[in-house]
Amino acid sequence: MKFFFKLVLRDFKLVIKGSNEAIAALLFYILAIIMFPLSSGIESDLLTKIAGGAIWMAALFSSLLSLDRILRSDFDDGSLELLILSGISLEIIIIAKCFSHWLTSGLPLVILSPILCIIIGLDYSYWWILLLTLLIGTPSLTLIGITPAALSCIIGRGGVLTAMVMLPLMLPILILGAGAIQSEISGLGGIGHIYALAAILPISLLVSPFLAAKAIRLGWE
Amino acid sequence: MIKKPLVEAQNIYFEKSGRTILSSINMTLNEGDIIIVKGKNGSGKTSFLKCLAGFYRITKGQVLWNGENILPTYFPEKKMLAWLGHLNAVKSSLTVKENLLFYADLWSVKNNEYEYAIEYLRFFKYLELPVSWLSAGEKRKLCLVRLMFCPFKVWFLDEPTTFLDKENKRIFERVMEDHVLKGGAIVCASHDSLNIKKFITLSLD
Repeated sequence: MKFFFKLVLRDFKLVIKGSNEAIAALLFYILAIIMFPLSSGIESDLLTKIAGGAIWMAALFSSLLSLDRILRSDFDDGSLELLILSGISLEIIIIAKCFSHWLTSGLPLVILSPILCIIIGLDYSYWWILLLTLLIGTPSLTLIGITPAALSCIIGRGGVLTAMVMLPLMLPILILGAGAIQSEISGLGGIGHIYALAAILPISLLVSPFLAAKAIRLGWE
Repeated sequence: MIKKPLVEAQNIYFEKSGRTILSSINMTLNEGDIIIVKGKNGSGKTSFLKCLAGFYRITKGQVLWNGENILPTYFPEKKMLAWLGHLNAVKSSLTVKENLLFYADLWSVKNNEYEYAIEYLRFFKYLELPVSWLSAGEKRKLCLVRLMFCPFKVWFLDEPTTFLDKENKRIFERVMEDHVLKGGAIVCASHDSLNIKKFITLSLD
């Protein structure tokens, strides 16, 4: 556990110092959200209809952008080899990486959500459901994306290929996240979607670190 | 009771994508040994080290650590191996000090050992610089500082002296000899001839 936080702290420092793409991904996210009202007009009822989908699309793409780097930078410079020989199991390293990725790319989205509401014209009374979906959904995005990210370390290149593997896997999160907001707006109540999102999180937390660790080991062999 | 060797390779074979890289290699590493692995380019020096550490899975034979079939990469909690590979494993956007302290902290190194390593390798003036400012040789030296305060008994070094100048090579040879005097053991793959008093050569050709 001690190692876990040391590793998270180091990754956090790396992001602050700008060697990571997390900040760029965050800016991309805000810009993408701003693009929606600019491109589809300011009629508020149309915007309200697409708000949930737009915010979740942007969240998906921004996490795609930054996920690719989180394991690869350590894989490429040899840090991962050294870390695993330093008394931390690969699975713990991967969970720590996911956690620091969420702290720097998922959590800011949650914190920014009131501002996003204003930008995209979502009524303030629906803010809580946006917050909840982002809070529960973004960790799953990171956890689901880590295995394709690990695979991309092995083949040595990421970008479009990783995105193509990740996107279908992340689809359920997108559907549920955007669906929760939409059905809350239409008066059906979005809490059912939230329950389903909340069920995905522990499953991905249990499965994906092992899958990603296996992928990394395959890469070494 | 006979003391078990730290690392033992028994008749190991390794194939990678259909190409035989290592065949029938034996090695015994005891406390106080320095084994220098020699061989041409492509003779499998790095692969050999990676097989011993467990990064690669050998196709035949057996690798034993302290007499047991426990490889460091699969049982990281045992903390057996200090590794210096081709890659430096330093973060270029952090400062030298941050890089060193991260590992010192991870390995629970005592403060005086950490300072001794920095002083011994005369690395004090670099501490506050970001690693991206260092030259290739200086980065390599940074790895040596880290290696020096690493508390693990067995060192695996893969071409440790690349980019180092003569003076630093001499210093590094002393560091290696000091380590084995303290009961450590080293396996080192190198083309350079190292000026060390007592060592065993393992040829892969």
